[in-house]
Formats: sequence, C-alpha cells, structure tokens
Amino acid sequence: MAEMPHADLLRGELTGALQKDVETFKTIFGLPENADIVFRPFEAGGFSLCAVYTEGMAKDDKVADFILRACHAFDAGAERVDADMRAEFLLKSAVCIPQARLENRVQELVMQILGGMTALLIDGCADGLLMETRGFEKRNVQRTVSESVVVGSQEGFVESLRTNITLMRRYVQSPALISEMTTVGKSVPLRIAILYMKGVAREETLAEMRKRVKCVTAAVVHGLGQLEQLIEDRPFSLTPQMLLTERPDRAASCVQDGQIVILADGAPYALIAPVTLFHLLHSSDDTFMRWQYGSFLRFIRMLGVLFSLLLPGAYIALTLYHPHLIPMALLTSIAETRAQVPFTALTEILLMEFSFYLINEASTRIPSQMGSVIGIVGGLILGQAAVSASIISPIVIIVVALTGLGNFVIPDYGFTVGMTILRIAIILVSALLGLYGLTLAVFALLCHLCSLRSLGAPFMAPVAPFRPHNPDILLRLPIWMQKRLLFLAKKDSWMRKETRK
Amino acid sequence: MKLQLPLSLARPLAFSAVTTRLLMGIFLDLPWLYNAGWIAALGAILLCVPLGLLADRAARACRGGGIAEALEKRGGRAVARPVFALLSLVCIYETAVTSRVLSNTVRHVALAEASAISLLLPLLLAAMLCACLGGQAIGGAARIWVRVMPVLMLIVLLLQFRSFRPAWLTPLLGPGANVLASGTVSASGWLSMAALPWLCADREENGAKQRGALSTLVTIGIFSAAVLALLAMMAPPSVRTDLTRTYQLDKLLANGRVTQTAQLPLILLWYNGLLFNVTADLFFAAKLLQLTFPRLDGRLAVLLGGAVSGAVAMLGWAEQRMVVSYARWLFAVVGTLMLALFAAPLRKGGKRACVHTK
Amino acid sequence: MRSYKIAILALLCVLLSGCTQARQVESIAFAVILGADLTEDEGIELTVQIPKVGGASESEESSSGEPSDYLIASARGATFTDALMALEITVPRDLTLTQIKLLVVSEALARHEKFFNFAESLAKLDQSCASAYFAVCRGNAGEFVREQKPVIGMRVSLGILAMFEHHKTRGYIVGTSFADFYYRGVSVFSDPVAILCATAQEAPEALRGRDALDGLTPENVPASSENENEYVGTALFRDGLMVGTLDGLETSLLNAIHGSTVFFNYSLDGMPVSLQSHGMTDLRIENMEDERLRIAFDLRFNVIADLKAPPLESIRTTLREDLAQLLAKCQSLGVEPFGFAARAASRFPSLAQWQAYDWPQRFSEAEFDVDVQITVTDT
Repeated sequence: MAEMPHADLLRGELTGALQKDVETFKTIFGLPENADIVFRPFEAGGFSLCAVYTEGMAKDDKVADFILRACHAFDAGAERVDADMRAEFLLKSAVCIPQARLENRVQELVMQILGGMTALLIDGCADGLLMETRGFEKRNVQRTVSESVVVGSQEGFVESLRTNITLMRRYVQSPALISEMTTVGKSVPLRIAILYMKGVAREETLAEMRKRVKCVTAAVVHGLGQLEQLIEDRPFSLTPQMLLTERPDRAASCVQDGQIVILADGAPYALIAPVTLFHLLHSSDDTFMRWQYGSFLRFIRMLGVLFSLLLPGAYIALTLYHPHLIPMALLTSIAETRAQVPFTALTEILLMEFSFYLINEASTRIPSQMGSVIGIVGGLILGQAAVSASIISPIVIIVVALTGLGNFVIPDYGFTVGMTILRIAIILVSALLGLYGLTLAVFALLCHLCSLRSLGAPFMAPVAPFRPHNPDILLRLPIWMQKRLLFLAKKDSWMRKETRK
Repeated sequence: MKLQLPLSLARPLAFSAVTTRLLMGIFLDLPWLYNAGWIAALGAILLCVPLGLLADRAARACRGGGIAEALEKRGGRAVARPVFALLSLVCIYETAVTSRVLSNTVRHVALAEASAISLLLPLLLAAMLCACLGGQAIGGAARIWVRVMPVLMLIVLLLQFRSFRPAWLTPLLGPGANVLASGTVSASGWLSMAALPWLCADREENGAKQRGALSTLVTIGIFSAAVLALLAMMAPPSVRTDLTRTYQLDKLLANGRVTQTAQLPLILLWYNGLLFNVTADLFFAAKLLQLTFPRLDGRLAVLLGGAVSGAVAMLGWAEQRMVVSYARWLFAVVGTLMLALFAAPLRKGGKRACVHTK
Repeated sequence: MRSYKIAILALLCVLLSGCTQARQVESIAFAVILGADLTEDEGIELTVQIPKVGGASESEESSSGEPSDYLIASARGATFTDALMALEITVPRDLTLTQIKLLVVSEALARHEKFFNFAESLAKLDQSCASAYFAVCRGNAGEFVREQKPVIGMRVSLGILAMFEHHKTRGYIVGTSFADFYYRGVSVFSDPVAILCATAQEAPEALRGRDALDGLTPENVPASSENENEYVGTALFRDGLMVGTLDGLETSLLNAIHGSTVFFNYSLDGMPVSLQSHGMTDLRIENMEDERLRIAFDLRFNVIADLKAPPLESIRTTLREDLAQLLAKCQSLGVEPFGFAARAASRFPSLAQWQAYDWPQRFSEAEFDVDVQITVTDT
C-alpha cells in the first residue's frame, strides 16, 4: 500500500541543525507550492530561530507580540545556556504564551502547526517549542437550528472543538468532567474529545467506547455523523443507536447521567452514547417545564410518533381489507371522495407521501429567500389542485398531513428519516395483508427494537428489559420524584440524586 | 448462535403467550364448557401449582447461566436430553396449533379468499425472524405488550360495559362437574406451558429480583378466568346450536352487542396475543432443540422448528378435533416431563443442584 | 448477503400474500338494510338497501320523480344462502352485509318453520351483521325496506341508529340486536324478542284509552308524516318461531322490567301523568307448596309532578293491572321474555338440571306478586 508523501520524514525527530530542520518542514509542507505555511526566521539571544505557523489558523498578533517581540526583548543569560537547553530556557524566560511545551517529534509538530499552533525551531537544540496561537475564524455560539425549544437554553454547539468543550465545561462545572483528546482517521486525523464524568460513567462502557474509537480504520472521518456510523452497534438498523444533539445543555445532562459524549472538530453536534429509544423521543422542554406541561407535551409527542408510524398503514389496511371496522358514515364519505379518483388507495397514499417528502427535502435545500415558494407549491398545487382535479381524495391529504406533523415532533432528525422508511414498509405490508400485515410488521419492529443495543446497553431499557428508573418515560412526573440516577450510570456512583438511608 | 432468554423476561413472555393460549383453548376449542370456562381456568391453577413450585425452586437454585443446562449437568444427560426433545416436539405442535388458529382468524375476519399458505407463511417468517433475534427481543416485546394490553382491554370493557349480565354465569357448573373436570385437565395442560420459560431462561448475574413461575401461573390463570367470566357474562350459553370455532370466534370478536367498528381493539388484542404465542412457542421449541443438540445453531433450530410447525399446520394436523384430543393428555405429558427434569437434580443434590461447577 | 436475504423474504411475502383480495371501498356495495320475506312457494326473498356512492343523486331519479340515493335490490331463492347468492349476482358490486343496521323479516316468515334455519344461516354467515337491529314487519319486508327513507336529512345508516335510539328511550320498542335475538334463541333461558314494525296504514278514527300507547301497534299509529315506516311494539318468539306481539304499552312495561329507564305518559281521567321507570327490585322466584312457581318483584317508578297532587294510588292500581295483563298474556302464549329464567337458573348447579326443571311449563303456571313503588319528583 502506498504511503503518505514524506512519511519517513514525519516519523523523524528534530536534529538541532536549524537549516536542516527548516528544510525538512518545507519539504513536508510542500513549499514553495504550498503558500500558506509561514516560516519566520529571526535571531535572538545570540542564536537563530524560526517560527513556523499556518496563516489564518494562527493569530498573527499573538505570534508577533508574544513570540517574536518577547524573544527579541529578553537579554540576560542566553549566552551561558547550553545549546540543547535553549528551548527550555526560552520556554521559561522568554515566550509569553501560557500554553506552550517542548516537542521534538516532527509529526506532532506538523499536526499542531496545521491545527493553528506555532512551532519555534531553535538552532543547536533538538527540541522545538509548540505554542498555543490558535486564532482562526469561527462561527459564534448561536441558536440551535434543528432542536429549538420554547423554554430552556438557546445555545447550540459550533464547529470549533475548543468552543464546544468550553460550552460543556460551562454547563458542567465539575472537576470530574474528563475530556480525553484523541484522533480518528488513519490518513487525515480528525481531533475528537471523549467527555464523561469520572465515577459516574461505567468503566466498561467507557472502555468499549475507547476500543471502538481506536478500532476505526477509515482513512478519513468526516465529522460525527460518519464516526457514528463507524462505531454504532447495528449499522443495518433503521433506528439510530446513538444520539446526535446540537444542544450543549442536553449533552451536559447526558454526561451527568453517566453517558459518554463525543465532540469533534468541525462538527456542531455532540454524539451521545449509550442511549435508549426514549432519549430519541424526549426533548429538553419536557424537563424545563413544569411537570404537568412537560408530561402533556410528551404524551402528545408520543401519540404523534404513533400516528406517524401507523396512520397511513392503518388507513390502507382498513379501507382495503376491513371496511366493516370503519363507521358507515365515515365509510360512505371516504367512498364518495374516492369515487372520482383514478388511483387505488395505495397509489394515492404513496403519491402523497412522495410529494410530502419532496416538499420536505426541497425546503431543506432551497435558499431561505425562496422559502415561501415551497409553501405555495405544497399548499396550493399539491393540496388544493390535486383535490380539485380528483387526483387525490381529501381524506388522504388529511392522513398524510397528520402523519407528516407526527413525524416532525420527533426531536432526532435521523430517527425522523428512519421512521419515514419504516412507515413506507408498514404501508406496503398493510396493502398486502391488511391489519394482519400491520400487526406482523409492528410485532417484528418491536422485537427488533428490543434486540437492539447501544454501546452494549439495551435500547428499549428501562422498559424492556426492566431497569429501575425515574417516572420519566412516557410521562414526566414531578421533579422531586426523579430520585434515581439513570440506569446507564455506574452503580453506587458518587453522583446520586438521593442519599441512601 | 445460542438462543438465550433472560430470566427477568420470562414472566412477561409467559403471560403474553400463555394467557392467549388458555383463552383460545377454553373458549374456542372447548365451547361445551359454556359459561363455566372461567372455573376450568381457576381449576387449572390448582393443578399447576406443583409445577410452578418446582420451576421456582430450580430457578432459585441456579446462580447464573442457563437453568436447563444446570439441570442437565446435575440430573444427567440420559434424563434431560429426551425430556428436552419431547418438550420441543410439544412446542412445535403448539406453534402449529396457534398459527393455524391465527391464520384461520385472519381468513375469517378479512382475507376469505387467501390460501392457507399465503396466511401461514408471513406469520411463520415473522415468528422465525423474531425468534432468531433471541429471547431478549421477544421477551422485551412481550413486556411492552403487557403494558399496552390493559389499555386495549379497558377500551373493550368500556364499549361492552352495558352488555354484561352476571346472571349468565349461572348455573355455576355449566355443563356439569364431569365435563368441567375434563375441561380443567385440558386447561391445565395449556397453563402448564407457562413453566417452560423458567426452564429455558438464563439467570442473569446480579439480576433484579423477579417474580417466579408460580406467581406467573397464578396470575395467568386468574387473568384468563376473569376474561372468560366477562365473555360468559356477555351472552347466555348457546346450548341449542353447533358450537364451531368460527361461531365462537365471532362471539369472541364481535359479540354482537357492539358495532363492528368496536371490533378493532379486540382484533388487535387477539392478533397480537396469538402472535406472541406463536413466536414464544417457536422460540421454546428451538431452544429445547438446541438443548437436545447443543451444537445446533440457534437460527437453524428456529428454521427447523418453523418448517415442521408450518408443515403440521398445512397438513391439517392441528385442527380442533385433534387439538381437543391431544389437550386431554397435554398436562400429563408436560407435567411428567417437567417433573422428571426438575425433580431429578433435587433428588440427587439438594439445594446445590444447579450450581455451576467451574 | 443480508440484503439478499431481506429481498428474498420480501419477495416471498409479496408472492404468497393475499394481496389480490384488496377491494377499494368505492367498489363495494354496503347494504344498510336487509329485508327477508317468505315467497308463495315457501322460498326466501331478500331485499337490500344500498347507498349509492359518487353523487348519483343529482342525475338519477327514482320512479316517483324524487332523487334516489339508494339502490334497492331483491332476489329469491329456496333458502337464505340461495337468495343471497342471487342477490350477489344482481348487485353490480361486491355486496357486503357487514354494515347492515337493520334486519327486517316479514311476520309470515317469522311465524314459518323455515325461520329458525334462516336465523341460523344468518348467524353463521361469514360476514357478521350481528349488531344490526332486528325487527319483524307486518306485511311485506321488501316493501318496508323500499319505504325506509333517510330520517331528517341524514344517511340511512346514521338515521336509523338515531331513530332507534330515540324509540328506545321512549320505551315503545325493545332495543334488540340480531345477536341478542339469536343468543337468546339458542340459549335455555328467557325467550327472544324483536322489534315490531310496519308501514303505517291510514290513521284510525277511534281515540285511545287511558294510555296513548295502549293497543298501539305500528300499523295503526294515529299520525302521519313523510316517514311511513313505524316501529312500535314487540314480536314474541318461542322455540324459534314468532308466537305473538306486544303493543306499545306492554313493550314499555317489558322494558321497565328489563331495567331500562323508560319515559312514558299515562292519561288518567283526562289528566296527563309523566312516568319514568327505575327498574325492578327484590325479585324472588320460589316454589310454593303446591309445586307451582311464585314470582314476586317490585317495579319502581318516578312521577314527575306536573300536577300538585298526582293521583298516586290510581296510577299504582293502573300500573299493576297493566302489568298483570302483560304477564298473563305472556303466560298464555307460553313465552317468557322478561329475563326471569337466568335468575331462576342460579339455583341449579348445572345446565342439565336446569333444563330438566322445565322452566317454560312452570312459568306458564306461575303466580305473580307484583308491587309498584312510585316516588314523586318536584322538578
């Protein structure tokens, strides 16, 4: 297998000969073709130095003020220092950057330079200095896009790993919050942070997560979405087994429940594992609001999810095979509206579902200035015109609209898409076998969900199998009744919500 | 692949599967019990108590791992394996019986023109698929179903509330003591199947404290008796007509008092109950087959069980007449086999019977 | 590999499923009323009323010139099954009886020995129509079905249900579904009953007695409206055949004994009295010394005091007389429609012993001790 260019140079260490070391770095960075790596040679304290950094990633002001100016400014004692101790001397006496360290591995230096740090190569010294000068442009912390809530924090993660970790630290101000830094991607590494609460997260879960991350053999991992696909338990399942959230408060809450959070550079999301189905269905609002409101909204959401999954299938099954189960008044009105429609009920439903997904997908891609077009097209053309032209019966529009609304109450977008695919499968089975098919499909789905695991934890727990839990599954009962730590947390964790008597 | 059922899920699985079997057996297959079916269900509890006690004792004595394997280790292969094999055959036949009833129901309710194979095959495929997912999957699903079922039951009760006439429960012994006693023996055969999950389960290390086989048997019996009593209170005993399965099914699903629309929750209850029954029976058949031949892959065992049950159902060997004759002996067969299995290690090794040797 | 497996499974499901059976709702003919008559050659004639679907009413007109929303179809056969098959041939859609709201049989058929087989066939039909109201019609059932119009601007399906709810509350029909009728018919307890109905004739000249319902039967309702089909009274059955009828007043009292809350108006000496029944209490069925049966019960009523001093004693006497007449009539017909049998059976350990007791005979010779309790409500 072909190796990366200059792999041998990357495996090497600094020699202490400044000219040679600079040449090595220039070769690795592909100078002169590569124009955005800055090499700034200068003299200070009687010896030569060269600062290397990436333009745009490192902040010029920091390099100028706290490295170049600081090195020029120091005077005393430099001559007396041994050549190979120069780096340490500079670290202690000259540079004014808080985060700085000695480093002699070429690969590490290269990676950090690319990440926005500045390397200082020193003549006569086999150690270089790595200094924190990151100052690239990034998006500010803004409102969440896909997980809006009425009550509660409005901040969302951004694309900077550092900022995201900071956000997490702000929400969980505890020394027990550990952020392990590592990389995934064999050829182009992606920096990720594994966050957990020490003494709360289970050791075996943590070990499993580390193992899975370590086992990722992909050359490149583009963000958390891909990482999720590489480390999840059952890649063929239609339901996600990990939770992607853009809400730092939600991630913080999960971390405090003993779950593990992964943040990555360039991903405005946190990946949370292990999770259960109920994590995918619960929203932050439920907890922020008073329990009556939270419970009611959650109940509505659950009904919406059921509608979304079963309503079109049930409509097909009942109208095609079990008309005797439909009240006569409704049946005649369905029959009358369908009398002029040239398609079968199945075709009608599939046509409308397809149109609905089309509108949905188009509204995601369309520039925001043209957003109103979607409303006009969806509402006017596909709704009113289709009914007037007797292409679709009004009852089908009601069914699909209710289904669509039900679908979008699911807080997790990935799960929404999964549910859509499941719904189509249920529609087809119902068209083949009626209620019998619907029951078979739901039964198989239920068994499948119960067989799923998320990072080793049962996906349908704490309901099936039973685990001791708070009254916070279908309804969210008063906060003072929520005395238990989530079953995913370590047993006898220090973070108990109640004191044991 | 080894088929496993966590002990904590034995109870919901037994409840969702055996309750339907008991109701089906008494109401559809023994219609000549008329309004006294509920007494047969209660009587079955009494007969099954020793079985429940033995199953509980075996489960308690086992500290971890498969209960059946532990029983085999102490009781000896010579006793255990033939018992497993025979019980597996019983389960395969039960799968065939239940799947036949479900497919006939479907045909009666909606798909009158569909062929038997077109109704049986999707059912067996779904059951095999779910059984292959393991006891965790079907047991978990059963646990959820046990929570949904009361809601549907409540809807049915509210819809038919005005139809109940307690006077129709009398004369108390219905067809007479002899017929009732014979019905009770058949009912206890079906109820005794509720002890199977405890034989096929694996005890989890540090598992939460669970209610045992005896309490489950009693719960199933009482619940079924209550449902049968409600059914009996809805219509006077039909003494002057042929009580075919179809007639009884109509009575069960529609009951005539409410509109057809109100059948929906009943149909869902009936379909799902039978579905759990078929899948659980198939799973136990495969598990017992695997216990008989430990090298047999779990998926292959499920496939074998499903194929044989399908063949039995298709060949017409699971129709009412045969089922009724076989049900008379079911309790004796299952009871003897279980007794041989559970009692052998206790006789040999007392309380340490099921402890795994390292 | 896995995707292949899934594809094969899906294919199997498709190939082996019963998908060919799917019927679009608009292609099914849902009958809402089924009428059955006895033909001259002792065969069965079935008549169905089917709502038309698809706005046919504007263009098509019936023979009377009025828009017709319904298709009426009739067919004959030697048995119910033959007639049904003929009916399926004549109706140009898939005929289904699962949505039937009213089953009407002619009195001639109900009194004929073929009736029990007819009821048995209907009960064991694949398409259950057991929840439909069951009525016996004076005259021709086919004509009755043709005359049954939507009630006050509603679909027949809804109209009939609303109509029966209304009639039931007033108490002059029994709320019997076909299942009620059939289950009672094949049981060994009380005898089944059915609603009595007819297409009304010209209103009679003579005025009624102390109660407007007294002697009132569907064919002689002293009123006229666009709706000519009337439902008043009860058809009594014994051993699977119709043996007699009850008029409006007797039906109200029968409903009162059954425990229904029934409103009815008495007219005593020209004064109107509004009564409301509150069910039966203290039912005692016991054998007397001469082996005869003694049935005692109290019937509770409530009088709404339209007058300052309602004539309670007079009402009580009248009610007791009416009840005694009703019981005597049923005894003479050998019919027990009151539901006493189930209570009497509770004293027996098994059904066989109960059957040996010969309840119909004992009931026809029984002595009654009926008391009427009346309370007065001011408002």
